[in-house]
Parts: sequence; structure tokens; C-alpha cells
Amino acid sequence: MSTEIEQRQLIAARIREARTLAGLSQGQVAKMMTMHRPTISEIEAGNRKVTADEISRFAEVFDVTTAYLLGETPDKLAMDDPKLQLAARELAKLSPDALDGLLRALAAVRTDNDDENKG
Amino acid sequence: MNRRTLILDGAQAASDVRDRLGLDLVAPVDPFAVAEGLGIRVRFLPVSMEGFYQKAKPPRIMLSALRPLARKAFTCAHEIGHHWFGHGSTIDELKGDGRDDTDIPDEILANAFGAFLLMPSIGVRRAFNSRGWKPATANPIQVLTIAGEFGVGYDTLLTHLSMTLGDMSRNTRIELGKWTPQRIRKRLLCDDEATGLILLDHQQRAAGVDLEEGYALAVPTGAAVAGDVLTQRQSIEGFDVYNAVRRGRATITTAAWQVEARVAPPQFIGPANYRFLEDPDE
Repeated sequence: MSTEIEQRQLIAARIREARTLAGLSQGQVAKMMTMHRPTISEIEAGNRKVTADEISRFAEVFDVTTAYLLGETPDKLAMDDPKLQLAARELAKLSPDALDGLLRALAAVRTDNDDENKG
Repeated sequence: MNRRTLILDGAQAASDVRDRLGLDLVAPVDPFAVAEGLGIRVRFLPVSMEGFYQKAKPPRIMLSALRPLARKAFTCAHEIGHHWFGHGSTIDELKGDGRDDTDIPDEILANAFGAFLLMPSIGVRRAFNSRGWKPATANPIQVLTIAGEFGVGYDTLLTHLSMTLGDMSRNTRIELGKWTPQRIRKRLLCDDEATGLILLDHQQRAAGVDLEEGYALAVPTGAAVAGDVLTQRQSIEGFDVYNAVRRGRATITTAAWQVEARVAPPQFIGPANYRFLEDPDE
């Protein structure tokens, strides 16, 4: 039971984080997903279950992977992740804070290598 | 390959991209629309850098939300250059206003591409000629007007005119460089409250203008403004000045042109195509 609640909280936190990274208010997301604004609020508070179809739609709106929203992938890319495609000398150009921000954004966004985009 | 050859290659590529997207070589372009037209996704991040180009499917450009509006547009154009030339993923670290200090060939190419995409020679020269102005004798307000029309920074236009196009002497560039957009703004508006100022006069040819909340927009006296994202601020000689107060879009119409004014939140974080989305929560 507690695992289910923890899972829901994790998804809620990821949806909130992805919404913030997409620069959208709860009202804007509600309008785009034809939902009521309080529904978005409840989802982000972890008080309402999210269906698989809703996860797909959130991922589309936020331009992130469903795996990220489900908490199946880390919230920050590892420095040696092939998705990064950057040499160490490129990464060395950034301050630790800037690098952290970039790795977090890249962990969320979709590429064609991500699971849901295959086939 | 020497610097001059790289710059010419960058200029040619910028012209090719305009051709590809059906854009002429005169009018100002929106680099974010160009990126979208090439299938590149652009995002703003709260990260201290200039930009990041990710060679991936889909290709992505990530820009610092923390940089000034015109700088973000230039960096977007620069990163499109990396994409067009098939360069690998690259990070452009935080720079000052001087863009021409690099000796790295890929960076020279991307800089030239960005500069000519936003400031095509024919378009910039036409912008001065049509107003009866000359780069060699331009004053700061004239430079600010044309920089605003092309969506670039004041210093970026000065550098392009003097170092790349060769239309402005070094001495004139130094004299004009003593002025800052903030100082010109204060001179025109008599206060220091606006975070930016764009002047759209009768001769301008942009179809759209990007603003952030807090910017002021000067339009010809009597121009019709439709949309509550702009509120009237004051009148100055020849212009009505508006404040950009809310995220969204407005339409400005004169006898000579119609322009879409697009207002983003300051330091907007998120995909570029969401930055002007009206917010029902506001």
C-alpha cells in the first residue's frame, strides 16, 4: 500500500517538475488537456491517480518521456550517458550549477532513442 | 580555412536557410520560427550559459533564460548554424558582448551564420537607406531603431556594421559604443523603469516583435493597438509608447504595416513555443 502511495507521490512530483520546466501554469495545462484546473492540482498533490493515457498526454504537452514522468528514469542524466553526446571538454565549460541544470533538463526531454518513440 | 572564408560560408548558409524556408533576403526573421521550420526544438533553461546544441533526433537548442532577449535570439541563430553545418553537440559558455573573439572555425562559422541570418546585408542596408540614414553618420537612436527591427542587440548591430559589413568606421563604432541601450532609453522615455525599448517606426518591415513583460514598445503616433498585453505608457515625439504588461499577443496596425507583438514572461523557462501562451491563471 505504502509503495503505491510512494509511487503516486513520485509521479506527482515529476509532473510538477516537468510542468515547471515547460513554463506552464496549472491553468494552462488544464486548458491544453481539457481538464479542470483543480484536477491538475490534485494530481500534483498526489491525491488523484493518473491513468496511462493521461501520462502519455502529459508527456506530449511537456515534451518529456513517459518513463521520466513515471519515475522510471533518473531525474538527472549521468555525465557518461550516451544521450548527452558531449565530450568532457564541452561539459567542463559549465559551472557545477549550470551543468546540474542542463543534466536535469536532458534527463526529462524526449529523443528518438527513448522507449515510447520506438516502433 | 581563413576567417574571411569562414564568414562568407556562414553568410551563404544563412542565405540558403532563408531560401529553404521561403524567406526573402531583406525582411527581419524570427530565429525561433526558423528553428521550428528546420525541425529543431528550442527550450529555455534557468542555467548560466549562452546555449547548447544537441545533435539528436529531434535536434534541440537549449538557451539560457537568464540572458537578455536579443542575446537569446542571437544565440538561437548561432546554434541553428551549428545544426545547419552538421556540427556535433556543443555548449556555448557565457560570453560578454564580444562575439568575434573566437579562433575556433566551427564557432566563426556559427557566429557568421547567426549574424547574417538575423542581419542580412541587403536588409540592413535597405533599413538605413529607406530612412535616409547612413551607418557612417548614424546616431544612437537610429542604431537602436534598426537593432530593434532586426531583433538584435545594439552592440551586436554595431559590431556587424563595422567589423563584418565594413559600413561603419572604427571611430564611429567606438563613439556609438559609448552609448548603451539603457542610456538611450532613459534619454527618450525620461525614466529608467522599462527593462527594454523597441522602436517601430513607419519604415520598419518586421512582421512580429518579441517583448518581455517590463519592456516598452514605441509605435507611430495613432497606430491601432489590439490586445490587452500592451498598455499605454506615454507619448513622445512621433510615437505612442506602450508597456508590455502580460504574457500573450497583440496586433499593431498602421497605414504602412501590421505587426504582431508577442510578450513573454521575463526569464521565461520552457519550450519556446509556449512563451507567449496566455495564462488563464493571471
